[in-house]
Amino acid sequence: MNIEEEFDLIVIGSGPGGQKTAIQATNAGLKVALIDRERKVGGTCVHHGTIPSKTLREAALTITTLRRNPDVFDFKLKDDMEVSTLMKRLDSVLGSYTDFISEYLTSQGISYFHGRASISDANTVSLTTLKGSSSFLSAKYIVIATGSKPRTPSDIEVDHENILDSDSILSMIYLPRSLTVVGGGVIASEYASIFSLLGVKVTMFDRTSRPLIFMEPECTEKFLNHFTKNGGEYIGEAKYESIKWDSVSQVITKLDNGTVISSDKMLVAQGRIANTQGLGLEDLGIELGRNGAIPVDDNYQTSIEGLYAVGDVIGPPSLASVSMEQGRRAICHALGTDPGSKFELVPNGIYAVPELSSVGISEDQAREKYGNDIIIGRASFDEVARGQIAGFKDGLLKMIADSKTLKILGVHVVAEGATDLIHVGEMAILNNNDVRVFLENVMNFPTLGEAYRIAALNIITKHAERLARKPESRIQNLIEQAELN
Amino acid sequence: MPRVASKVFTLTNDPNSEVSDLSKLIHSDQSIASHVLRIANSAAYGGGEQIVSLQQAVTCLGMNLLGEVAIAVSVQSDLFKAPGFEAQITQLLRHALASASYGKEISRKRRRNVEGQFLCGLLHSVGKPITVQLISTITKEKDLELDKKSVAQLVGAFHRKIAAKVAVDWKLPEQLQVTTIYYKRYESAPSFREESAATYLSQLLASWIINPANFKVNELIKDPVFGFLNFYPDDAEDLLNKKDHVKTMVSAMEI
Ligand SMILES: Cc1cc2nc3c(=O)[nH]c(=O)nc-3n(C[C@H](O)[C@H](O)[C@H](O)COP(=O)(O)OP(=O)(O)OC[C@H]3O[C@@H](n4cnc5c(N)ncnc54)[C@H](O)[C@@H]3O)c2cc1C
Repeated sequence: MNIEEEFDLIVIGSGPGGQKTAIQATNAGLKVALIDRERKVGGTCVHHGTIPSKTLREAALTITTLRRNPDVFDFKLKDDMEVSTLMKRLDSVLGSYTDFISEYLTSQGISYFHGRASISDANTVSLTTLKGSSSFLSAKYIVIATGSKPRTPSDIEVDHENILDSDSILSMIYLPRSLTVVGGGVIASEYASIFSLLGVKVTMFDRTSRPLIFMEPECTEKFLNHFTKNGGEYIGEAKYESIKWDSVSQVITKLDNGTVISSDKMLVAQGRIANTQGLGLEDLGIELGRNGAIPVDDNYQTSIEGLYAVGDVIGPPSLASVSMEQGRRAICHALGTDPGSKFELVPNGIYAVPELSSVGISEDQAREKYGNDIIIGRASFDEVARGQIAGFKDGLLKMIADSKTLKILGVHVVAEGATDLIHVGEMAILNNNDVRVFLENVMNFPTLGEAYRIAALNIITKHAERLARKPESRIQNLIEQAELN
Repeated sequence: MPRVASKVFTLTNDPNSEVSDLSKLIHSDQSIASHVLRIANSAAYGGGEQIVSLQQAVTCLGMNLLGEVAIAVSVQSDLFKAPGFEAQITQLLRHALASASYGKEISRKRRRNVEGQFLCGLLHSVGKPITVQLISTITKEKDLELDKKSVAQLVGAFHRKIAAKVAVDWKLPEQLQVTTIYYKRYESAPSFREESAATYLSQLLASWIINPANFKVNELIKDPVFGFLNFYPDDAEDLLNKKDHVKTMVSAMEI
């Protein structure tokens, strides 16, 4: 084996996980190689996921704002509007973003290799170029950050023409009249709501009774209301019996409840599987987990010393934000430096329309843990001045607190801006604050942040009512508690 | 009535015929495809949405309107009829269909727009039948005889210029205008560079399946376009292995 170059660290995959790993390592003075099979850095996050979907979302929101204000804007959607027109900004967004990342990585002294990597042993990576030639790089540490790809059920023929997945959906050159979305998770809900906002007739179905089943029901209800108000339809508790393109113009979906859906296009969003094929992990004795995920310990180290894996390739939560932090922590472990306390809180951010976000525990989890010793505060965005101004009146912020200490246990938001707003709650939980922190301190006005104050006040009021209450019969008590919550 | 027109006419008047037959028809012929796009986008038919794909034409226009457009198209489609040169025209059409079908496979592999690439492949050589048709008219008018080689040379010399003009004059979708003009020089295309490269590759693979004797597979696979499209050797091999599938698609589409 001819080693071409020796490094301290080789990172495979240039998505958010790989990038952060490489940067953290060079900052610590290591000599780093970063490999990607694509010519351009960025991974799923830049080329197929986070950034493209959010760019389309921005375009859809701008159009909606213009439509909603006909007295201000003389706005009519251009007759020849194609998806590519909506995504025009995308090319420049992606171009400048990838150029920026590439330049930044180079400026940090990271060596970028374009090719497919596979792991020969704990310290050697083989690199195959586009032309098929192979070479070997060696390093003390290796980090696998090869991400994930859409999972396709074997009985759905994703042809990327009529039946698309989250990689190919944005390559549509025109807006279809109708779209069926298989799945009720994050990607399904994001695209379903964005396309329905653009005037596409969207039907989404899933086995679960409601989309985003892991989010607070009150929040998903608001999301669903918004989605159906925009013409979308959600069919819950339904499985497909068959999905077929009719060879003419429609994708025909037969559900087990007898419903038949016919649409121009279909998006299959049935989860993701890890990109591990071709890495040679089997030969290293690494057994893969569910959906091909690489098993790692708390420090993101695999069963082989010095070989780490971070990001989507190790399975959920499959978020760019988490991938980056895992990368940083893997390097800290490799170098024996302190990564800081273990992160327990991961905010969920869903860029549907409207956005949904949550941090901490849900009402169900809180009840399981604390019984009835919890108080729930709500702020409806029609009470929030900024919500009124911005026209997000149907938003909701739900805060869950421990009724004894008034400590904040969880925050759940549905409204435009929810993914940013959630960080205020996240910090409060991290700092062990009780809800009074929002009453005793000053926040800007008018902001959506006012919702925290309103929800906190709601909790304080309920708390006071509880304290003032005479002891009652057990049944009466339960009824009242249910009402108060 | 031209052969295609009578076929459309029969289809649209036959209560037992299906949109699928009509769809197949408009997908299977360069002249019909390009004219359907042109007419469907004209003020008379334009229902507001720009038609940029044949699939979209089928979905948006529906059987009746599509039938009307197809008849209008095929009645005029003697544009591509070149008496005395039928064999060349058939050959060109087969190549265009193979490029279209291979284009789909290339896009599928890259998870890019498959419908759009079909059209790029189908229409990249739209200048060729038009040139042949012009040659046919002129040779008839001037009572000239041209051997096959001279015809091929003339087609080679003029088809790209003609295609470029046609793409612009017929207001074909932007992607088609660019790929038709730039597919050979995909690296210098002002936009749709990857689509132009995919078009170049699709016509290259089409030529290979039509005339395998003219190619050495190990040379073919070295074409820089594979690298440009980020295809590794096994991806390239996968594509070559689609040969029989593409051939079947082409023969299913030939009318
Ligand atoms: C539609 C969509 C929307 C999303 N929205 C959000 C969001 O709003 N917020 C959020 O936090 N997350 C979001 N995500 C998730 C986010 O994109 C992923 O969690 C993130 O990209 C994972 O980063 P990663 O570094 O683990 O892998 P990736 O970004 O997938 O990068 C992996 C890289 O490894 C390369 N690679 C794979 N195998 C090899 C090999 N053998 N050799 C060399 N290179 C290889 C790939 O080419 C790729 O570039 C979204 C995802 C999708 C699909």
